[in-house]
Amino acid sequence: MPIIPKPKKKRTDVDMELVVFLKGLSLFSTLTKGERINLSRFIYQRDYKKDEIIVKKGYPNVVFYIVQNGELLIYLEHGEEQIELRRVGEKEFFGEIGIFLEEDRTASVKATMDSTLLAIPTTEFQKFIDQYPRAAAKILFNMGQVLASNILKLNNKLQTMKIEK
Amino acid sequence: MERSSILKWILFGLSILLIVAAFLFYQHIISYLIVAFLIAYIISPLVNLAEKYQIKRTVSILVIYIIIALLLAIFFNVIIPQIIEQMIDLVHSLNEVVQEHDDINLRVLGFDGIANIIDSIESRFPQLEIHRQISFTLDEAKFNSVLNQIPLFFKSVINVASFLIVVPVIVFFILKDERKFFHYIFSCIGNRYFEFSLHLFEKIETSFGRFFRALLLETLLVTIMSIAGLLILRIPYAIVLGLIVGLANPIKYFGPFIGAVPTLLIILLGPTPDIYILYAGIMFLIVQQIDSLILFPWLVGKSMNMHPLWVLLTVIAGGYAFGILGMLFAVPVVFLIKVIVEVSHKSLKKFEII
Repeated sequence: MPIIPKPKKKRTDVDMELVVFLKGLSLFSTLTKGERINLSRFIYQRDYKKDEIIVKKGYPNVVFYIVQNGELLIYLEHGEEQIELRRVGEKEFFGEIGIFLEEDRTASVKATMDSTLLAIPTTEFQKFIDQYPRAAAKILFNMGQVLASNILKLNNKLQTMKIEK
Repeated sequence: MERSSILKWILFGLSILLIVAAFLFYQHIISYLIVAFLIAYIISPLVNLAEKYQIKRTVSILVIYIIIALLLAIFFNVIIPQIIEQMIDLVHSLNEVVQEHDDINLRVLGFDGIANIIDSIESRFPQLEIHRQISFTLDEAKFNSVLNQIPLFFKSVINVASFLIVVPVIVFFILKDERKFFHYIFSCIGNRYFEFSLHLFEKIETSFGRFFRALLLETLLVTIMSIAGLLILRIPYAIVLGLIVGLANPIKYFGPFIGAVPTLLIILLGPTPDIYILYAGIMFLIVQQIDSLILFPWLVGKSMNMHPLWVLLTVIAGGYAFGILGMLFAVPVVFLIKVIVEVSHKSLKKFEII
């Protein structure tokens, strides 16, 4: 009987599932596999239970989050009432402002179901920019596109509101 | 009490026990770890810089090790033998003096110039009894006790050797796996304290890192200036003496005096004319003025927010508790604690933990 050698598993500290997941995100879709592997080393995977508060308004904006699975609610507290601003679903992100500005959180965020988030500390992202400027340029360009389209949407909303008035 | 909260307390107690046990088990190598972390902290920016140019961490660490090894080889082969020779000569001459004379004074030690100055002071102020005080300080028992310490020093050479082998290995792994290490630590922290701990670490690193690197740069510049000055004056062992001046410099207020003593001794005991004490003194004064008027305020002053009186008291307290090393490390350690307390308080409030 021929002995079939078992394929040797390469010892690695890289979470390949995470690397594959990153490819599906608009922010990182243009990165090469090597660049995504490098980026994955800067990312923390955090699990949150339903209704667990992730950040509160006024906290320092030190981490940029991407939803790997689950759903989040961004809200403002008005007395005992919670005003819903928007929901953040799978593959969406929040906290990107912290990468560009030293501003505190402008709203609170909690999980509406058990969720897994990818957390990138802003200081770690700065280190990633320093070490992998080519990959960082692609990410920042993609992020710029997302932010610009958000601005466009807001502008349109404001114009419609003005016309309605 | 609920079962889950009892379980939590039991787990908490077990964790504390585990930490204490680990501390007791590793207590003898804690000094190794502290030194290794300190060295890694100094080298780390260089490795990070190399990484920016796509040089792997392992490669850059090995290159830095080779450079350090070369520098140490030069230091041990060229400079250390000269120092040992000089030290042996010095100990022999002191031994001879101790054995030949019942009463030791400055003239016996060959410091005629200083003895004459003291003579003239004593003739005006006889109540000072300076010569008697000096003889008392330099008595035989004290000399012998110092000489008896030398074999003990050689006994500790084995410890030093193991230290010199183990520390570079620890430094290597700290530098190589720095990110993995911090990643692991922060991954273990619960959601409530995750952002807080990241924020706290970054603030402490920024404040203390700025201070520590500024202090290193200041020390380096003072060392270079001192070596240059001593070389210009053609004083023997200028490099080593300049290094001693530089290394003593971070001891605020007292450091410059402590650092100058070996230079003055070399001038007095060696072939260099005594008048060079004055030249060296003027040179040290110029270096210290440049340091205290330009370098310290420019480099360290901004990052170290400690009152001068507090710094002075800290240095004295450090000296009483741990001698010269205490004087050297007291200010950085107290400053680090101050930064941790201040930043923790601010961060705890920001994250509504207190």
